[in-house]
Amino acid sequence: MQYFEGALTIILSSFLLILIITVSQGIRSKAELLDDAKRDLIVEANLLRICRQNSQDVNRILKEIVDFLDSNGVRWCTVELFNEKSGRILAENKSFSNIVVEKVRYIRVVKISSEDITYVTIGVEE
Amino acid sequence: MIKTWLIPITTLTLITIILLTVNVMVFIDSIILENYLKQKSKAFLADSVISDVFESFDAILDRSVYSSEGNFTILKQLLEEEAGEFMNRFLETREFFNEYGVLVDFNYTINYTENCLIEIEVKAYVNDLEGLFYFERNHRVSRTL
Repeated sequence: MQYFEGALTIILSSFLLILIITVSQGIRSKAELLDDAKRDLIVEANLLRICRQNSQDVNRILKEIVDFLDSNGVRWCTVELFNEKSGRILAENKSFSNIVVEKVRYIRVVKISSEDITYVTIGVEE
Repeated sequence: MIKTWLIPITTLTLITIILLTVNVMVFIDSIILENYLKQKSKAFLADSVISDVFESFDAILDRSVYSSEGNFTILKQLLEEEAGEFMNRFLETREFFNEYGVLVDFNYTINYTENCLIEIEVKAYVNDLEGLFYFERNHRVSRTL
């Protein structure tokens, strides 16, 4: 009987341990997901602010966006600006240039003015 | 009499139930919060775009008044051309917003009065494609020639 109880306790403890690990990992991944979503929202709000402040000059917008991303520790790999007047302008972050495409998520905003429409796409490491 | 082996089983069952409940609660909470952030992001972008549209109409009217050099006929022509062009350009963003899951649309009316007052009234609508929110904003700008 004692042997049975000992075995049962070991089996149940192992099961509990696995369960605790699974649950904590699930919670952690969800917390990370939410953290990313919050950070994306902040980045998006700031992108719109930068575009609004420098609506005429695409190069200046690009410079300000890169400065903002760098100074806030965003792990960005590409910043792409596209409008009819200036075409496509791309900036790449050499520190994160080897990231696989599947591990990159994109933040997109659009800035409309009376003369042109500028699309901004930022690739951020997952 | 309580069997000794019943104690770990009962304890484990209770802990398992608590852990699973916590997991489900966290899962549901995170889904709700994630959706909230998604909706907030959509609404934020759409609101910013609407402000852009209103500012664009202000700029179009100013430019038309300046370029017309006091000629009302030229002003009318310029204004309608530019506003039409802007509308067409805006339609190009529809695909972008569809991908984003939100529909942004607007319509405008240009009113001319006898004392050379030009007024543009813009109504913009934002509709979430998942049906979770809808709002509209109005803007009115006027200039005298």
